[in-house]
Amino acid sequence: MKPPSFLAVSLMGNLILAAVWVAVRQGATARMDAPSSAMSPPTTLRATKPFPPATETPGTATPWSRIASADYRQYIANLRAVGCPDWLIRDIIVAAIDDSYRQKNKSDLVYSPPWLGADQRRQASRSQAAKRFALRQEKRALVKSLLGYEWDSQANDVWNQDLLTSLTLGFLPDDKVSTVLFLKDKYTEAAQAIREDANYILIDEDRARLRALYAELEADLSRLLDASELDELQLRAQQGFLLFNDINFDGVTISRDELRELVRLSKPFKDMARDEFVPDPPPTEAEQARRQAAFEAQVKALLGPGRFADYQRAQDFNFRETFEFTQRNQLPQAAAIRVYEARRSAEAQSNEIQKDGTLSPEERASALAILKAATMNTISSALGGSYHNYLEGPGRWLDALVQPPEPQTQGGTQ
Amino acid sequence: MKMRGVIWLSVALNVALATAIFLSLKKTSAPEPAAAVLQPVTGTSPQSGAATNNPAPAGPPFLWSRIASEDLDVYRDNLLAIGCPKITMREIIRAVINERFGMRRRGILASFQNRYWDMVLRRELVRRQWLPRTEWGQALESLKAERLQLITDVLGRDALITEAERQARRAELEQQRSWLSPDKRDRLIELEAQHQQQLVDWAETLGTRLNGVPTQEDEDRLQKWQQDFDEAEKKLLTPDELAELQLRESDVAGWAGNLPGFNPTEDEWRSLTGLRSQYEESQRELGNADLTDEERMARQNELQAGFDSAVQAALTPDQFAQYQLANNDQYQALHNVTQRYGLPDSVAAQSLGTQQSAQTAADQVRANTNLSPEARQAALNAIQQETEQALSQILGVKVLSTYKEYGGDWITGLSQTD
Repeated sequence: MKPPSFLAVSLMGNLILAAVWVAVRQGATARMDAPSSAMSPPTTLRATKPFPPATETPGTATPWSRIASADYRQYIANLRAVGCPDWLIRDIIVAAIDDSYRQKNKSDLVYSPPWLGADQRRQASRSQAAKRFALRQEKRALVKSLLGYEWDSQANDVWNQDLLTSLTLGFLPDDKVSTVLFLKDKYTEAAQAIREDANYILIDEDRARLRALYAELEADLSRLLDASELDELQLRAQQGFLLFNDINFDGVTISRDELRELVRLSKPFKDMARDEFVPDPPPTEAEQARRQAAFEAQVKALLGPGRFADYQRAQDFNFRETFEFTQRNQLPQAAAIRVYEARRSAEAQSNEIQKDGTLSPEERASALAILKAATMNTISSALGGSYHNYLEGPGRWLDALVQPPEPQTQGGTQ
Repeated sequence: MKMRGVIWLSVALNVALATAIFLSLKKTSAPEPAAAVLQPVTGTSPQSGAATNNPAPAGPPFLWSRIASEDLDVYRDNLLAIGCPKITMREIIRAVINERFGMRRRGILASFQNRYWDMVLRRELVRRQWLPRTEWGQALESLKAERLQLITDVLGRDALITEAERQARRAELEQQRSWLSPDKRDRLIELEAQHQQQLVDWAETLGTRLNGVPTQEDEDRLQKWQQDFDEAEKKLLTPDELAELQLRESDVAGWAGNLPGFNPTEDEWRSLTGLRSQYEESQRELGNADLTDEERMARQNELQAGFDSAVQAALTPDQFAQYQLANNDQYQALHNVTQRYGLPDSVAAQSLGTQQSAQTAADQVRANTNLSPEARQAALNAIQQETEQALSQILGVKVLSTYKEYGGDWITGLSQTD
């Protein structure tokens, strides 16, 4: 072959091969966008132009109708085949299942006419609740069989939207949060079904069932979480104890670890999560007092005598009020303590004077006036320039110091 | 020499292109994920947009990467363009938005985790209404607002409520109106939805103004919509249907559901609902009347007596007795417990009799000034003991124990002197 002819053939080859290479590259790019593993992150999104609209001619299948299927397994397979990421497949399928079960729930709704009495209404409501519960169980089982794990869009919504839940469970990885919430919902619903069935009048058998359910929930959580995650979750669930018992830490030096330990110690006193799940009859006063004493002894051992005294002081509203005043006025904590001690001492002495039957009314009034003046002097030296603000605010109790005693009065203690 | 150079260059390019094509083909020949060979699991959801169990397509009808887009408007339009039902498209776009925001959300949460116990110490988590004001709450709320705005921008405002919520509301209304024909019921619900949307739009318009105060024009518009709605409702329903709707959905319609142990017939319910409605109306008028406190009290007593006797006249003597019992809180507590154990209503009624006698006896002892404190206490203790024994015989030990927990705390109160 002459060089010019060979060159022409070669150049032609260049053009053809270049065209083929471009075509192969485009196909490869499209394929590479598809996820390669079940837990792959969201795909890199490339399309920036509208996809050509599908023909809406009746009887003509749209591209979507070629992948959508009433058989969920097939639907999943079809979505995978077109490269839909797994997390999105999950959401599409769960939404379809949710929708399907909403239709089922709807068909099970029974209308109760307004003249239906409370007993019949309750009966109808219990029967509907039982059906709804059974359907929820069935749906959960279906989702698990399709996805291979438990998933609930409602639990996921809570995780995404509820601030407190987000913060409380935020120490866990996302997949564990979803499962924790799923388990919580699942068992809470089962417990609710028991309570509803009992018309909220729990008898021994109901409590036994609730206890068994709670044990199952605990076992499931133990399997899901590692020891430190489980410990943290239990502590965070228990921290509501502090609010429930109005436990305050104003002016108490306590580390995070000590606080966590204190919360841990409170569990035998009142197990917040368990008691919400299995409401036992309230303990007798004696039992309550025994638990309280045991808890406080443990807190004392944890904090030591000095800080335990601080802790006890922080439970008194009068101290917290004074502490808050000193904080607002940028005074040291020692000032709050001095004022608080002065008040305690003054109120105790005032009581003694009021009760002292040997004093004439004039002597009593005089003794109270001296007590008030001495107390004001102590407080003034503790608060300095903020003293007058104090008198007009939290210090109004000083006026009551010289008043004759009134039966059953709170006397500024709250 | 120059020609030879061009030839070599061209040949080299051919070799390079051939190699590139070979390598590309090798890379892309990985198998497509195989569809799982499992038994079909079918649903009835219209969401999938599929009436049949579609087998795996012979070749993919499209590639997700060609549908998905960073630009969510394009993503949405692409989904609709391939025939994806609107409901499913919405779920997909919401899921994509959630996924995108999820990472940012996780970042915010992670940055606050080491301060969790400090927040507990400072009582920052005590009240839910305070949470949005905290530093972390503000960060999450701001992200949430951004997410909701994006959902609104891409899917429209009505996408803010999920399909589940929408359908739940609809199902509730359908159930409530099931006495109407399906066609009328659906049209009525539609009519109400439109009216509701008008009110929402109206309120939103006011919200965008600085002072938020409605002008006369706003008030007129609102009134016009209400008139239009009322007229449309009248056109849709017959006078009897409209009256029935108003009766069933009035504020007083649900009274029978709050009276355990009383089961009215439909006619009794209609009579008593009418009486209750009149009674409520009279009370409203009384509230607005210019009267002294004594006059108001006297008028109130008259109204109550009139209502009670009208109810008595509307019911048979047995039904009226049952009605009175059901209105008694003490009976309700007993009834709830006896029902739990499957005991007949007569047991609750008998127990109520014991309760009333015991409380009357205890009140008499407390009022008896001739008794010393010790004698009074002893007499009250004796009443409590006797009552407990009597109730134990009527209810049984187990039921009594449950009753003490659910409403029976008055038994221990019997021995209290004040």
